[in-house]
Amino acid sequence: MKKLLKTASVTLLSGALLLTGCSNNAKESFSSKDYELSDVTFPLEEEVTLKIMTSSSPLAPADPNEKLIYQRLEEKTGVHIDWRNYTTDVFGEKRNLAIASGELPDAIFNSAFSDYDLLKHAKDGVIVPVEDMIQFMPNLQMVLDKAPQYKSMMTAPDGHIYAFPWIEELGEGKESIHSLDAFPWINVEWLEKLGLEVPTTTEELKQVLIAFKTQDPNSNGEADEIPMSFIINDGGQNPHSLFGAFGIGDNWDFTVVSNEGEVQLTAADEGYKKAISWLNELYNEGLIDIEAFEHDWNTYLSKGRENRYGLYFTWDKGNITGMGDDYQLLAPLKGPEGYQNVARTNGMGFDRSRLVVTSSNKNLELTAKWIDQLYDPAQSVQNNWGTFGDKTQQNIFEWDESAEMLKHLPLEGTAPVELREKTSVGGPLAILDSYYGNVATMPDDAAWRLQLMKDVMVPHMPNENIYPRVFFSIDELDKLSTIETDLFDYIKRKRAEWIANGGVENEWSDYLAELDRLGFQEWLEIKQSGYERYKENE
Amino acid sequence: MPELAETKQPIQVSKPKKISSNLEYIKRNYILYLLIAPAIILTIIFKYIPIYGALIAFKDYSPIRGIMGSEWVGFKHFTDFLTSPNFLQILVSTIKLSSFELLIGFPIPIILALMLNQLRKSGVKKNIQLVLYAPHFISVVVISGMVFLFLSPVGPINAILGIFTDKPISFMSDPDYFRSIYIWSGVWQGAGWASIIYVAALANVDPQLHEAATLDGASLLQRIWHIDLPTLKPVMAVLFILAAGGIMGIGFEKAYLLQTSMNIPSSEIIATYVYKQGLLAGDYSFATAVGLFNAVVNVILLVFVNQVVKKLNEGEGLI
Repeated sequence: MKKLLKTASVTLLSGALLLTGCSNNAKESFSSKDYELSDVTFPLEEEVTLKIMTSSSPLAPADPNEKLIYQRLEEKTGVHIDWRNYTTDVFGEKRNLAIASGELPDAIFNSAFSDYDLLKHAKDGVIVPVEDMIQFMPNLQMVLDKAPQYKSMMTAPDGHIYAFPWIEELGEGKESIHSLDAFPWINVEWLEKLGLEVPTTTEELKQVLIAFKTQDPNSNGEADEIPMSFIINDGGQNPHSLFGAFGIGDNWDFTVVSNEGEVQLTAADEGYKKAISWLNELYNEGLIDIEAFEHDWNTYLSKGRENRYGLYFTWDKGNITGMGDDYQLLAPLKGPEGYQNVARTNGMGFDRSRLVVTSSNKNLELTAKWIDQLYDPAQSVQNNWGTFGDKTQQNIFEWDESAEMLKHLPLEGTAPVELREKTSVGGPLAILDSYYGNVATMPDDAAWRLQLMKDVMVPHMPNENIYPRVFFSIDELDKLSTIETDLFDYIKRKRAEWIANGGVENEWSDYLAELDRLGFQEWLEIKQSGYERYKENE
Repeated sequence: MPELAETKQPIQVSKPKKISSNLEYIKRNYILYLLIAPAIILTIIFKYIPIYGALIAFKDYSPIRGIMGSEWVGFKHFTDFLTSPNFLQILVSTIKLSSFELLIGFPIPIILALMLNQLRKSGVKKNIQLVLYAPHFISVVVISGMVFLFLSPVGPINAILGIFTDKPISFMSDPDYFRSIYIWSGVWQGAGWASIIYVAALANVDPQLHEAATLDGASLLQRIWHIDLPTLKPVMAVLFILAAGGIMGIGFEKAYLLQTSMNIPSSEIIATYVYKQGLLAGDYSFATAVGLFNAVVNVILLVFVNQVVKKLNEGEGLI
């Protein structure tokens, strides 16, 4: 009997251990307790801790508190942040898992929720509306006073505000820095060596690419030149700017708005077919990188660093081949039928969901005031780009004592993206056009890119409007996201397949029928009505 | 049955008697029950209790309201899946991929085992087995990385093919190649390991049978056919049913890792779809419904295969 008791107790104990192992993740440990603070002023007399989930680039330190920006912010406010940080590649999954298992932090920083996620989580009570918190936020209020259009962009169709946005003004309208994401960069050094002119038509480009391939422009005796490269279906590295030589052009979400106010799907346009057929011709001639359909950013970058590209696509050549004079922006080409368009990218310096406050948060006022610090002009600028006075690594800014503003330091060959990802923090912030020259200087690379945009691209942009950030209702978003998953995947796959294997001419009518089957017409209706509603409210 | 109908009296008497005799039996052998208790407890905790989570397939799951508190929506998620434009393609891809894997992957370890069994020098046999088992221990992530490297348009295989053609083949972006790549890399990795159980079964064959057969003038193939294979038959039957049970439960990792945006037509299977809808898109109810649908199809298949195997294997099945 004694033996029995002994064995039984061991079994029970192990069972009990298993059970507690499953349940000891009590809710409390993921958000902070109520500090019962009111009329908060910084710095706090006694340091408190907020628990926030966030994401950062793999280049940045794993603990965000190692970033100088956060160290200074903690000193200034007396609020310690207990970060739960994930790298951007796994963040979405981890964030969703945390929500599904009820492990809600106080807030989610760099939340990157889609509009649908926002409305759904609000409906489910995961996140709370934040419009009442704005009364505690003088910095944000000032931004909204200066630029009232953002208030309506933040507001959901049900009248609530569910997230704090990111606002970065760099140029307006067509001259915005977002007007075209993937710039084409051509190797002018090779052109010079071969005695060729910068191509101005699609046919000339083809001849130039053939010369790149066959005449050994890097004179190493090997045919290792890659006449043209891109990363298919990757927004910033996709060759969509070439499509404008054949019709309305193309952009990452296949949506343009004609000057008659009509929403169009670029991938259902005749010109799209012709552009693909032309790219297939180039591919068959061996002028396109055979890895263009598979390689990732790192491979793309390493080939670029070796200067093997004749023509390639990216946001800023500084990030791939450096800021030297060997590559130059290729102006829009004229196609066989005389088109010379640039389809504008549906991007703007506005991201609706950069920080959400969860329903577990018990310190709304404190949280609001802490977030408000991020909207302070000088803080916003640093959060967005990087900071000054860091003795351990390269700085993006220096603090100009006399002018009391932040001045960009020369990059000295460092890729701007890399330096920013290491030192900046992102999140909710606002940089208005009026800040440049007062709070900080405009980044050199942005100023340079804006100038290129204005000189080279803007003259060929026929459309007065882009498709704006319409905030759809949850039912519309439900339908849109269901349709877009299938529809866009199909379009992207067909695009890559046709460029590599041909067949666009024969399969075009089947393709259009398949688009309809996947819900193209319904998608167009929702997009069109959303656009009209937006214009009315404007 | 007729005995039960006759009178109620004996049952009422015999039932407690049976229970008490059972209790007696358990008491006597309690140590055996204790031995198996952790396994049963674990199974209940990790296999049965989570089943109640499948409820969310019929609800609009909201993490805040919890599983019980969420709203009932009936079969909405199932109809959504069954009427979604890509439903048929995903289902067909799943069934094709797993049945081809079963048909190709099942006989190869048996053939391997029969061949290994013929090796008489144990040193050579050991070494060959070691070489065959080794790939089993490589993680599937690494295997997929290797596949990508070897089959890349600038990789070694295309370099060899380059002697014959001038256009490289993009293996990883062509849906036609996906299934072959998936299955043959799986065979390379798993066949050696899977042959262990057959090799063990073959070791039990009485050598006298072989000697007698040789004396009677049976050739090597005849001995394999009439002695080795009948020995393996029960093992084969059980393993086949088990493999068929997993036909719809084909693992998502490898298909997901080998997936590129261009081979989707054959690489998107139910498991990868569930992962994308559930964990990436956060649509848990829908993903659960798809997973549940998958499980139901799987059970039907399992029962069916079990019946077929019973017929072929003189009434011996698994269930």
